[in-house]
Amino acid sequence: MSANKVGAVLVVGGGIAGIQATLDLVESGYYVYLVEQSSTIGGNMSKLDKAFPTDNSSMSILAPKLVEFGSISSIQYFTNTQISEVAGEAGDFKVKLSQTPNTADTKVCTNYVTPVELPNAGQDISGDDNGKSGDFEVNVGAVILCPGGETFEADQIEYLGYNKYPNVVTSIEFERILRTSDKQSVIRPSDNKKVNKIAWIQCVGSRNIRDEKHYCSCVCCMYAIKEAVCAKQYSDDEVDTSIFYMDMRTYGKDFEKYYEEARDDHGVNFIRSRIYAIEETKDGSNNLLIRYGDDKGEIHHEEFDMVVLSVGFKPSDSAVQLGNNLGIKLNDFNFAETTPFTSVNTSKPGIYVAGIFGGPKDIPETVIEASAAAGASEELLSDVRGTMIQEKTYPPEKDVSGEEPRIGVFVCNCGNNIGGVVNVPKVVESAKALPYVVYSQEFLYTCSQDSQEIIKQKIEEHSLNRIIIASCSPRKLKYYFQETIREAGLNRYLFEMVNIRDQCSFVHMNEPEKATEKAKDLVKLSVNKAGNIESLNEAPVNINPKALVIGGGVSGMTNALNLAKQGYQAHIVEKSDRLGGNARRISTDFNNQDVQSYLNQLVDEVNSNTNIQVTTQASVSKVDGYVGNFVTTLSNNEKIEHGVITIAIGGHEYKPNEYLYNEHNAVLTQLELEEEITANNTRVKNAKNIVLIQCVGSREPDRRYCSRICCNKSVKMALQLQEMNPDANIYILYRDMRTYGFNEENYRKARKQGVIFIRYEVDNKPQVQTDGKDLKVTAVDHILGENITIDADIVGLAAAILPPEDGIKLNQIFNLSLSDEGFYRECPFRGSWGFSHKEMRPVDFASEGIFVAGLAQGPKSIDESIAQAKATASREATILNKNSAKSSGIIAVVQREKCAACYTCARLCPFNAPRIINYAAEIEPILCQGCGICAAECPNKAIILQNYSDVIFTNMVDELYREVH
Amino acid sequence: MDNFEPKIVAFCCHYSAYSADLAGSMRLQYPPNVRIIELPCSGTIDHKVLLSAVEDGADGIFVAGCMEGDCHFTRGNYRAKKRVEKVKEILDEIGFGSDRLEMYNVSADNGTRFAEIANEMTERIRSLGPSPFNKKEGDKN
Repeated sequence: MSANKVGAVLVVGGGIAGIQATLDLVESGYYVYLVEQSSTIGGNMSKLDKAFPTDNSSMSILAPKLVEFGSISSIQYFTNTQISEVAGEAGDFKVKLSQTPNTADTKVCTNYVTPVELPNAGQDISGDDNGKSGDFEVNVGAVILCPGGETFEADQIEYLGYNKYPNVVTSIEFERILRTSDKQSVIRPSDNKKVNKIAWIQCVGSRNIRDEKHYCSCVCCMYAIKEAVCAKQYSDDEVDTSIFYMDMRTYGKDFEKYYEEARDDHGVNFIRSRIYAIEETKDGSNNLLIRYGDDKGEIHHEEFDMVVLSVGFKPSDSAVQLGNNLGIKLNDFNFAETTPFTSVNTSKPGIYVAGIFGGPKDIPETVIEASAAAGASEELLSDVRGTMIQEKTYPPEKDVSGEEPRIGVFVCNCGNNIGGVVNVPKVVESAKALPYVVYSQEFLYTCSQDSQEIIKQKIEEHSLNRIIIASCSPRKLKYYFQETIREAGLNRYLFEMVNIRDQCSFVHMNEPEKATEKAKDLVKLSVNKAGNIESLNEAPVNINPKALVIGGGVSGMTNALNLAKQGYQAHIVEKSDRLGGNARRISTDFNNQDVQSYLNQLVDEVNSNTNIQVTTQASVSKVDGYVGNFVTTLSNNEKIEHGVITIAIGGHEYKPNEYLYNEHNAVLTQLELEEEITANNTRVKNAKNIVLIQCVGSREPDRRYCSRICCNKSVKMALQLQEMNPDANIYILYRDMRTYGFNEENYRKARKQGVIFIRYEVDNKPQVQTDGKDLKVTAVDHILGENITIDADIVGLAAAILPPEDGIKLNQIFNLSLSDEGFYRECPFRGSWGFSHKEMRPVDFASEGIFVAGLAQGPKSIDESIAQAKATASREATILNKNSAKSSGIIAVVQREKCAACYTCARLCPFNAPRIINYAAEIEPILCQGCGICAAECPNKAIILQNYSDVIFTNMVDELYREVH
Repeated sequence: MDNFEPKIVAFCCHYSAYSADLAGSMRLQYPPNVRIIELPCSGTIDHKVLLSAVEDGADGIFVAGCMEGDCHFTRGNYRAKKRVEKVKEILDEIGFGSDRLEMYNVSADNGTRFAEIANEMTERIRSLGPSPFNKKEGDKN
């Protein structure tokens, strides 16, 4: 590792992973160069319609992140750019980049339709004119690779008819069909006719031995379900949807319910059958014929209007080349290999991987890995944190309180986008006539750099103290304009934005006069509001740079250690008498890596790190305070002051009440069997017949979730058992084999080596019987349709992973959200209003400063827990690295004299911001997200949402209808 | 009455206003009768503001929030729904009629739905005629 570390990181790839890693890093005090080989950022996610399992719009998750991007000064990003050479070592890399010409022009509107184009993109490193092509070098301490992946080329499998029949499309093409649909029908390519019957073919390019793509692509089952449900929802007519699959792999959090709802509520057909031919019908209708065999071996022919191929992921050629250039190890399928128990470290120190390049995965997992890679980089570069960034300095803020409003209105033509419909000069004229407006002008592009200078000049020249921009959507450019007025010495809340493009000229293209009237009205409303808004302060809060980590398992320890190495304090509170958690009971991970030696090393590191304190045999009994300033009391009465909280309290194994568990001593749970394997017990070693039963307690009406790891674990154990005794017969009784990702390799290997897999249906479960001595397992062989009976020496039950025992108790203290099953509910796609950095938060809670990692959030493997623990640390570092944080200015405030301490606000606030102190409510500014629910519900109107008060709205409405009186 | 152009005020939460922006990106055309006032959350809307809009002579009013269960502030849209229902009751009681006020849910990614809502509301108000409190239009009758 280099002695001269550099506090900057190179992020390769501008998809959601690259964006997340970048945002985490800049918020934690590192400079970031982001390189994207295409001309826009947004990656694969911007091609999707909706994201499962929440069905939120993909773009509405992504867009706010892109907005932030344009507003941060410590990012430089380069589109159309590739890495040509990397020299140096961890901590100090010199990376040569080459940029191909692009046409970025500061005079062109930066907020045009597609939200993936950004202001100031393509600026090159020397500060030269924009978008100059050529080679240049950057010096960074770490590199994060997130080049993403490509989908499999479906035309390589000839019998599926892709590129031959027009109505066979790939899933990614179908996303586009959905995105552009009128939400009343789904249209097929051949004749633009509405479709009424669609089939999905799973595992196209995945789990395919012929094409040497043995791995499972992880996301296709879920997206096929999502697409099938969307197709139904987007069509006024009844649409018949069928998914042809091998195993339904809905293993993620809330995925099983999504699957059940699709099947039972939406009526999606699930047909277990691998398809080997798609043909067009001969009648010229361009319909497609699928021939398939069902469970009973009967052959069916079915006609569909359209067929969607669920294509899997593969690394792109350029990513493979990049990996080879950098000299990192790639796996058999050319994905980047990570070193054991790191989740994100490549074979080369200082180079990390996140997202699909490290293996197929969904969006939340990609985001977790991106944060984890950021966390790993931060750990490496902690001693040079903050050395490459410059705090932006602003002129002192003018005090305009008590001044009469002096409003400036700037109206945008947006090339011809607005001016072509709305008569902009008329809007400017009418604005000038409005009360308090002292200046108004028209711009060709309000968002151009030149316009910013003019706006600043005009603020000075006319002593403007309220600024209105009438242009496009505030979602992208509000922050940008607020920066401009702040640079001119105005408080950034003295700003209003009116959307006369997307909400006016674009939607009334054929009615220019009415559109002009509407634009005038919208400006009038905004001027009225501007007269009533005030400068707002962002309340500063000190941050205690210490984390409380609840739970001393792998997740908690990884989290604490990452933070400690970043230079923050961590205090682990563990309920039992020693660190280690569930991992104490696990011999090897799915890749046959020794868990115990890793765990012992981790415990040693934790114990010897001076930044970490450990309290065992204690639990949390009380928490006071809020983000940055928590005070926690432990059960031993110890008081800890800290800034953030990690909840890593794990989960535990279900104790089955079926299959003779607890009645016969040869019936064991997975963990118990694993312990016997580790101990090399003779009864396991000598067992002739071993039966492993899957889904014990999972995917049942009581527990409508998949425990995710048990299929992988049973396959791993089968291979271990086989090694211990090659003569043993090992049976795995399963419902769907969910060996997702590269775990499919083990499944394939187990099959090849003679492990016997027998599928059972949930309504016809295997029977385990005993005569008091021996065990017999009876199951229906679905191919023969007959009962088979196995004399089992050992029965292993893949018992469900249950939520943490203390979850509910702890939750009474924290008031967080638990899922129906009892796992902590992160808020994956939730965010606060405005421009905070929270749109996508798979390890965050709605309550600020509290994070979750590991089994407490849902079943997952050790590697996945490690990724999440690092991600949590990275997210926490974004808070801990600041001495103080600032609240938003748009917050609710209480007028004490009016407050009756009725607790209405405290009850309703989703963020626990109001507290009753001395018989009146107080709203903690840092917790308030500015939704205004409390203000509207307050029975005595004691609460006001700043700059959004009822008075402001009533005045606006009065103004709007003034002429009618 | 034929050339009556209602003026409708729409209180849209930040996220449902996004659907209005999207309708623009999609170039969907709808009648230019709706004026959007953006709220942080539909849960911000107060009875008083809605009633004052009625008093001012608004021909039509609607509140738009996120889809139920999908509020960015968890339950703000349910609060809004309750308030709109309450105000509708009042409007019925005073004989004004509750049809001029409506609560809609629209997700940020559904520009089509926003255009539909704008169409639907404009059509509805056109058929109802000007607000009895809308003196200017009212005088014409």
